[in-house]
Amino acid sequence: MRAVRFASGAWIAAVVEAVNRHPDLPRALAGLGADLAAIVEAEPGVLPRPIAAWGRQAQGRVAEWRLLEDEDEILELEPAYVVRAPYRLWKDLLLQRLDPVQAALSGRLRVKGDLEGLVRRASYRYIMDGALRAVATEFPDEVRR
Amino acid sequence: MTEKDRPKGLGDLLVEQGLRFASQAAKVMMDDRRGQEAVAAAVGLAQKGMKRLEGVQEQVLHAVGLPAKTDYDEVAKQMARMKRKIRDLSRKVEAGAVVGGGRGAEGAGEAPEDAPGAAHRAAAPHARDPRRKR
Repeated sequence: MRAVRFASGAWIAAVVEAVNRHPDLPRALAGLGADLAAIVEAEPGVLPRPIAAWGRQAQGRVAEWRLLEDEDEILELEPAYVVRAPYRLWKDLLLQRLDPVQAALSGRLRVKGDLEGLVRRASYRYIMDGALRAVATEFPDEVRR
Repeated sequence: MTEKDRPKGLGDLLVEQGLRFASQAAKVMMDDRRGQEAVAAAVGLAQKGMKRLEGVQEQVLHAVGLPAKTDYDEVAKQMARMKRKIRDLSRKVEAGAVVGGGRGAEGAGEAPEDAPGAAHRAAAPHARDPRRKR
C-alpha cells in the first residue's frame, strides 16, 4: 500500500472513501450537525502552514469536502463543528495513542459546537479507526529530508 | 518570556492536576455505556451554562455601549468574506493575464485537484456552494 501524506487532498479523499464504505456510518452521523471543519495547526520545521479542511454530511455519508485555501474561510462557512489541534496531537489521535474524548475534555483538542453529541457517539469511534487503518499515512515529521 | 517559559504557579498546577484527574475520571466513565451518557450530559450542561453566561455578558456589554464577542465575530466573518473575494478576483485577473499573454485559457485559474479550494463531492445531487447556506 502506497503511503499518502497526512492531511493532503489525496489523504483526505482516501479517508473519506473508507469512512463512506462503513455500513454503520449513517447511524453514527444521525442527529449530528451538517458540517465540520478541522484545523491542523502549523509546527515549525514540520508543517510550515496550518491545514484546514471542511466537510459536509448528507444522507448518512460524507457528501462533499474540500481543503480550505485560508483558515479564515471557516468564519464564513460557520460549520456546526470546528475541531482544532496542533499537528502532534492529531498524529497521536490518528495513531490511537490518545483518546479523542479525553483530549476534547482536557481542552487539548479544541472543539467548537455540540460536544455533547460527539461524546454520545464516542462508541462509533471504530468507524474512523478502521478508515484510518485502511489508509497508509506518511507523517511529515517522519519523512527523510 | 513566552507563555511556555513562564514558571508554573499554584493555580496552574491545580488546574493541571484537576484536568488530569478529570481526564482520568472521564476515561473510567467512558468505558461504561451509562458512564458515557453521564459524561455527555455533564458536557451538555456545561456548554449550555457557558452559552447562557455569554448571552448575559453580551447583554451587559451592549447595555454599556461596548461590542460583545458576537460583534467581533461578525466583523471577522465579513473580513473573511472580503479576503475570499479578493482571492477570487486576483485569480481571475491572473487568468486574464495568462489569456492576454497568449498562453491559452485552458485550465487557467483552476485549482488542481489536490490544491486547497478544490471541492470534492461524493454525490453530485448535494452539490452547492456552502457559503450561500446562511
